Amino acid sequence: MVSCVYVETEIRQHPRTQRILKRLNNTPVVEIRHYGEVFNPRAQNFRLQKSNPALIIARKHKRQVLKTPKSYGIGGYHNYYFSHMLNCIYDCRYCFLQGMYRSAHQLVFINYEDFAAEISRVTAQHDGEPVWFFSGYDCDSLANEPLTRFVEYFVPVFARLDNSWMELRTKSTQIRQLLKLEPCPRVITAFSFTDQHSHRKLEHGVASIKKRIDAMQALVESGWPVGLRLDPIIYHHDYQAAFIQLLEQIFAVIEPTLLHSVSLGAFRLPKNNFKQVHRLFPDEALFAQNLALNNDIISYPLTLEQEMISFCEQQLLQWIPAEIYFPCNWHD
Amino acid sequence: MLVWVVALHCEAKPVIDHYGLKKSASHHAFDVYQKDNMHCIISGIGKTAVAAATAWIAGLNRHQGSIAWINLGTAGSSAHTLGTILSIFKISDSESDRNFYPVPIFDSALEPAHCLTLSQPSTDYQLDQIYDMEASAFFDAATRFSSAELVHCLKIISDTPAQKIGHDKARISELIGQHIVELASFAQSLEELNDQVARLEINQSDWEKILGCAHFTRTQQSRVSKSLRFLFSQQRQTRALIAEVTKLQSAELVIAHLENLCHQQTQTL
Repeated sequence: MVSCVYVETEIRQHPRTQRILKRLNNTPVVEIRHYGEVFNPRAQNFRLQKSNPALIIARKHKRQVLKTPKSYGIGGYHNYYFSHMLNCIYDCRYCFLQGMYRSAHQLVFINYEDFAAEISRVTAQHDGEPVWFFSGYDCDSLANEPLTRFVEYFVPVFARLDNSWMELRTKSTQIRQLLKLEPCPRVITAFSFTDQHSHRKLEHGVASIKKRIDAMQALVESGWPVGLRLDPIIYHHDYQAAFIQLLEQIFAVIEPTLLHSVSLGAFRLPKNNFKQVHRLFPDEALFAQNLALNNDIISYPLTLEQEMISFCEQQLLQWIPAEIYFPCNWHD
Repeated sequence: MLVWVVALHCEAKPVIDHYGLKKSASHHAFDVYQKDNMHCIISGIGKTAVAAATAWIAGLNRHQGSIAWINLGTAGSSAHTLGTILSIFKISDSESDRNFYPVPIFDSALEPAHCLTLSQPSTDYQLDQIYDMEASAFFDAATRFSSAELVHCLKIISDTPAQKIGHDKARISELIGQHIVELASFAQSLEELNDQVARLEINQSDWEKILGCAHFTRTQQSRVSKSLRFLFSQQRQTRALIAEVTKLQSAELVIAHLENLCHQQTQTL
C-alpha cells in the first residue's frame, strides 16, 4: 500500500495518527521533525517515487484555506480550496500534480479541526453569501477515505454551515462513507471522466468508467447531489467518437436532470508544471503532441482547442440543460 | 551504473569477490574496483573521506546517464545482534543536526533503521539508533549527483555493548559476506531502478552527432532533446533517425523534422 510512513514527532500521539498507523501496522514508521524534510528536498525523482510512494502524516500550521485561481469554480462568486492531502494515489499523466511537488509521497494533514475552524471563519466573512470550498484541488477527495476519514469528518462540518458548499472531486469509487451519512444538499460529489481511450492510456490506477458511473448512480439514488467533470478533453485521432460514446455510457445510467453541475475543459497545464512533467516523462506521447503556449498555459493550439471544445459542448448540451453547464474558461 | 562506496577494504572484499571486480590501475586518489557497469570505491573512514570519494567518482563518471549508489559499511548498535543487516531509512548527522531520508522505493526484506553519523567513534549507544561515521556525508554528497531514490545505505552491525569486532578485518569481511545474497538482491533492484532513469537519457555520442550537423541555440537544443527523447522511447531505430537528421542542413530543419515525426507518432496517443 505505501512503502513507509513518515510521521511528524509533534503529532505522533494524535488519535488520527494512531488510527492510521494501526491500519498500516506492518509498514515501517520513521519520525520526522517537519514534513518539509521529506517532501521538499530537491534531489527527488517524482516518477520513481510514484511507483511506490510513502505516506507522510503531518500538521498544517497555517494557510489551511486558500482562494482558488480565477477561472476555477462552478458558478459561485466566492471560491476557496483546502487540501487535507497533497498528491493523489492515482497516476494520471495529464494531471498538474505531477509537476507540482518534488515528491510523489502522499502527504496527509491530520489537524482537521484547524481546517474546519478556518472554513467557518472564511464562511462568516461573506455575510451569508454562498461560499464554495473545493477539496479536490491537490488530491482526490475520496480515494483515501478508508485511511483519512476525510468525508466522515468534513461533511457534518458543511452540514452545519448554511451558506457553505463543498465540492468533493474524485475519480474513485470510495463512496461507502457518504452512503452512511445523511445526504447534504451543499456537498457535491463531482466525478471526473475522460474518454475510454484516454482513460486506458493516461489514467493509471483509476477505476473503470463503468465502476465510476455506478458509484455516481448509487449516490444519486441515496439523494446526494453529484457533478460531472469532463476534464481534461484529450486530443487523439478518434476523440469525437470516443466522447460521444462516453456521454452515451454516462447518460444511459445517470438521469441528466439530476446532475448538479457539469464542466468541460481541454487538456492544459501551467507552463512551469508542463516543463517539469515533460522532463519526468519524455517518453509520454501526450507531451509530444502539437501543443502551444498561451498566457503561460500549455495547451492545444487555439484553433484545435476551440474545435474540440465546440464539438464536445455541442454534444454535451444535447443531454444536459445549459443552466448546469460550466465551461473551464482558462483563457479569461 | 552502480557505485558501492565503502570505507575499508575489508568491508568491500565480499562485494569485490562476489562480482569479480578488478582493481583499476589508472586511479590513484582512491582505490577503485570495477567491472562492466559497477564500481566499488574505497573511501577511507569518516565524513570528509566519504564525501571526497563520492564526489570524485561522480566526476569521473559524469557522462553516465544516471548513477545509483550504495554506501556499505559497519555500524554499532545496542539494540541489534552482531551481524544484523539494516537498510537505513533515516540518517542524522550528530554535528550539523541535519536529517536525511533515503527513499525506500522498492520492496526489500531488510530491516529499516535510523543511523546517527558521528565525527568521532563512540560507544554511548541509544536504543533507537545505530551509529556509523560516513552515512550522512555520503548521502549529502551522492544526492548532488543522483536523486534520493538511487542513494542507499546498508549497514551491518559490527559492534554491540557485548561484542566489538571493529578492528578485526577478517571478521568484518565474514559478517558482511554472510549477507552477500541480500546485498546482491538489493543491488539488482537498485540497478533496475537506475536503468529506468538512464534509458530516458540520450547517449552522449548520439547527441554530439546531432549537434554537429548545425548550429543550435540553447533553446533549440532543448527542443531537439525533447523530441529525440520521445522518439527514441518509441522504439524508433536510433541509427536511422540520426542518419535522417544529420542530412538536414539547419537547426530549424532538424527541429521541424523531429517535431513533425513526434506529432505523427502521437495522433493515436
